Amino acid sequence: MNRRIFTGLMATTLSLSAFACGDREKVWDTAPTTVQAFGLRDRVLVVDDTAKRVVSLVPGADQNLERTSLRVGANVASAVTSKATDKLFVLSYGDLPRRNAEDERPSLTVIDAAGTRAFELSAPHGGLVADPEGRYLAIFAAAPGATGTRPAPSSFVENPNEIVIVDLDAPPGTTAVVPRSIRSFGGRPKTVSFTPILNLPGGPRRLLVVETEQDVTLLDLDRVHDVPERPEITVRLGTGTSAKPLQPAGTVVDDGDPTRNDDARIAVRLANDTSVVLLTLGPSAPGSPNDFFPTVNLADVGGPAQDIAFVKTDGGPRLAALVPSTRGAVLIDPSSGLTQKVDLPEAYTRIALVTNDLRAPTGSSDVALLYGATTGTQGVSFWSLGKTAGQPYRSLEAVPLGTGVRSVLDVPAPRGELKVLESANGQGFFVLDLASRTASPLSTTARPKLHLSPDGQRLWAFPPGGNVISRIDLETLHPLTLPVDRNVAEVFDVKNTAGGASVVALDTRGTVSATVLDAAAVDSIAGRTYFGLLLEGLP
Amino acid sequence: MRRRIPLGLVPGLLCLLAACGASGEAGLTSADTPTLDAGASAPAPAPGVAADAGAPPEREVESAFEAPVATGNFVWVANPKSGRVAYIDVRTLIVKTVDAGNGPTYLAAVPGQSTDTTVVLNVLSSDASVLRASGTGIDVKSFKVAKDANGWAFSSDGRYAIAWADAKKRPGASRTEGFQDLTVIDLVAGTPPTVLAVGYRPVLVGFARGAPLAHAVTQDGVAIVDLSASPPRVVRNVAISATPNEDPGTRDVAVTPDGKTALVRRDGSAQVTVVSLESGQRVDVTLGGPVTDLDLSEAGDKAVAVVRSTGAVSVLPVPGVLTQPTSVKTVTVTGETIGSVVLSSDGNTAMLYTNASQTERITVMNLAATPDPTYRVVKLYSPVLAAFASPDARHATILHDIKTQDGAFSLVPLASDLPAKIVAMKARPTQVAMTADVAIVAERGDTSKIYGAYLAKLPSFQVERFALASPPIAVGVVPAAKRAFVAQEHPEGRITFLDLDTGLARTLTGFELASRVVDGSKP
Repeated sequence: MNRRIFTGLMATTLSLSAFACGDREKVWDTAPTTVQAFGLRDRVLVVDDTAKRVVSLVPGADQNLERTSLRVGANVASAVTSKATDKLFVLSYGDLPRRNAEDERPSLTVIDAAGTRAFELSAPHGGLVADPEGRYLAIFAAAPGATGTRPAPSSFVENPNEIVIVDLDAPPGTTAVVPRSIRSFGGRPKTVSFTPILNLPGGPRRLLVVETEQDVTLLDLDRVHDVPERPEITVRLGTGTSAKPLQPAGTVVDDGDPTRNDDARIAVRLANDTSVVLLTLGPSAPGSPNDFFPTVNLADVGGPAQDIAFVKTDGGPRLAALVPSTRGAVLIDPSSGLTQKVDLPEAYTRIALVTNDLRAPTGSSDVALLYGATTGTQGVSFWSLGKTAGQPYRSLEAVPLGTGVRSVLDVPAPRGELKVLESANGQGFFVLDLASRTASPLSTTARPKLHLSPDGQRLWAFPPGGNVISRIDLETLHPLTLPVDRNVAEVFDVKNTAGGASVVALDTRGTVSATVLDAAAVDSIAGRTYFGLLLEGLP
Repeated sequence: MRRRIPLGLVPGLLCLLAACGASGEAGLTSADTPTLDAGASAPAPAPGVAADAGAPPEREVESAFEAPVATGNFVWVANPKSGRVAYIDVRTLIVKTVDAGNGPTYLAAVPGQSTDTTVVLNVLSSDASVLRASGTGIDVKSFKVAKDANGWAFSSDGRYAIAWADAKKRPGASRTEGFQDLTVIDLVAGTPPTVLAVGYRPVLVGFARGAPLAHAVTQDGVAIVDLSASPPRVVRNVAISATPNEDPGTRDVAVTPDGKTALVRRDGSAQVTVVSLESGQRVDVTLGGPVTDLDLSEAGDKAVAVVRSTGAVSVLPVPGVLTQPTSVKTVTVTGETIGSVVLSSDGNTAMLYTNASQTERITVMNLAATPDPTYRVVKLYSPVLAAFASPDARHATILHDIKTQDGAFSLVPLASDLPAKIVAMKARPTQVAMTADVAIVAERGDTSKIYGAYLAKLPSFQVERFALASPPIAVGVVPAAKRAFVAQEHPEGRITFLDLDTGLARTLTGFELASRVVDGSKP
């Protein structure tokens, strides 16, 4: 194999030896641990917590890789990318406990193509959620063991009901960082989410929805800078007559009729009850601190709902709830609470709307993709919600796959009609064409990790820790396997500075190496591997 | 053959009408309309009177449901299990609850109040909670009441309330349970309640307008209560029959709003007994045959009796008929079978029909016409079950009695001779409420599990159906908020509000849960 191996490692080693006799930074005595990598549109970012930095890898022509170190706070708690994959948000605990003035405070660092922007925080928290629309971040106490969050480096007292809102577009004269302690009736935040713009009685608003073990809290983000602060609204999910409160397990949001400002709704499914809770955001009473107020409508769906979605049907807007325990779905009229059960061919647990991917005309009834990985599930179904009235049984079209589906990946435009279905049995995946309702199987010898190119042309599949990556051309579904030097932990398909696309395969062990290939390469001969990335750029 | 039941809704704000049009009566319940054949077997005629040619009696369609009630700004619903009363702001639909006593069940609105006020009987603690809206919430004041109380009566100014026990709500009660205790509460003075014993098993309790007197119609006569005494006391018991052994179950008693006169109709009897509750004087007015129905105008100035066997409609001037028994004016409706009468609120229009046979017509009689009442027959397209007049007497809602198919109702113009509009339903009609502008009719099909409500605009008769998720139990209209509501059966409480302007529906389910939404610093 005629490949070029980057020799920077040797250069780095030599330069290190020059400092060997004097004082050296502590970072040199600490091995990189728990390296995380994230792909943005045009770069790969490797979080090197030990060195309090993020290494930015920007591929260029001829598989060159521009490498830059970006400073982030000490003790990274979590990091997430923006939905648009143009930013990485890195939340740091800071130095704990803080013993002297040099010790860092908790902070949030925003990294994008322009550089970094840091926000100092008053308290360390581990949970971080990014607003899908890119404006806000919510920082809160992560539940113990929360995925994607590292535990704090030392014990400390934490207020689990403090939520820090970071407004990246804070109006002039206001601070971007707004800490809020939400009212607690004994619960602590488990899940935080952002609504899209909702047409509420007081005007268009965005809300922060906080789920605890026993209630749901709504915070008006558009009034988060108000002084005095507007209190949040707490929907307590218990009648007060039972010690066992209802436990929220997920929310979905719908703005309702665009011409109305009193029909935006939030639906809450419950982990320990057969009902779903519909909150309609109508006007508040005169003198209320907020200018909207949720009214409650409970609807029994016959079993715990595993997933819910607001859908458009031929009968009007509905909340669809999947109830695998009854092998069915229930359509709930949010106005009347009227329910309609629809028997399903399998006990699906997930629902994904694919209406827009099918380029349906505006106002069309929805089409949903039903899937799940429960035992016995053997495929997916299309649910045409334009046929619900009277003949719900005719609205379903099953696509047998011989296995359940663990997850569904959305293929970006211009191939939005394609979905990648990760099989539950780990023996491959399927490329589902929504338009033709065909599912093409692609077999693997081990459970693959999948990554889609942002231009919708390629799917990358690789066995985590293996030394091959496979590219599947989404036009032809032709797979091509490319060997790489190192054991691959992550693969990112990103734009390169030469105007093309590169694939960066990372080995996150040790000091991290990266193999860069042209994303359209027919073999890996022209690939370049860069070793010891975390040894570069250190003080 | 029906009786008036105090509604517990603020007059003028909510018009919830029971069958046979007695204004101020509560809505029908599922137990009433779908099983109306229960009354089809005629009771034995009173001694000495002839039965009416073997035809079944006119059927009674009345309410037994107490909740919810509406006041100017709120709809109130009691929850006996939680011990709380939910109150819903009809404009914002915000639900809150207030603690009542143990087992709050029988709820009623207090009339004549400047603020929203209700009172609820707590059946397990044998007390009552007066719930009065204030700027900061609901003020609660409790009073002890006699055991077994399950009904309310209020003086028109809202000063006095009487909690009493209606034996009809305790169908299995033994004969030794007399339900004879009335609890008189002065809601203004706040003095301790007074428990008074009246005759056996009261069927009607009311107040005299313009005088500090109350009355209770019992099987032993009409008990008169002097409210001006301290404490209030029963001052006399007026017999309403010369026959002590008369079966009280066969008679129908109405009392005029001034509390001075009672009118008694007996099944199978051609006589209407008019009783002066002041003097005890009794006058029997004999009509042309067994009187099948008697209705008293809201003003109490006239009563209308119907004799089905002859088609005669007799107008009795009240109280003049006491001194001039022959002053009765009778009009015979020829060619029609009429056995029931419903008077409009102003007492000038009578709707005459029968539900004892499958008759597809009603007769609308103008009682204000001179020199004699005039009438016209309105053709319908299904047998009549019950009739309801709007408060302005311009329209009526007729429920149809269809045994072989789903239900139906008709909208009938009373003030003009335009044709009626029939509306096919998906289930049997159960409740009706009317204002001058709208009518709302609920339907309930327990077997088919079809439930709905029809909102009809008046006078256009534009009708829209709203499907309901659970069985309706009460309907009402709150004109000030331009909303109608349909309360439904649901373990957590359910009510659907219909916007009268936009026709949009909004359902609230889970009152206790809804009341626990916290906005601001006060949980």
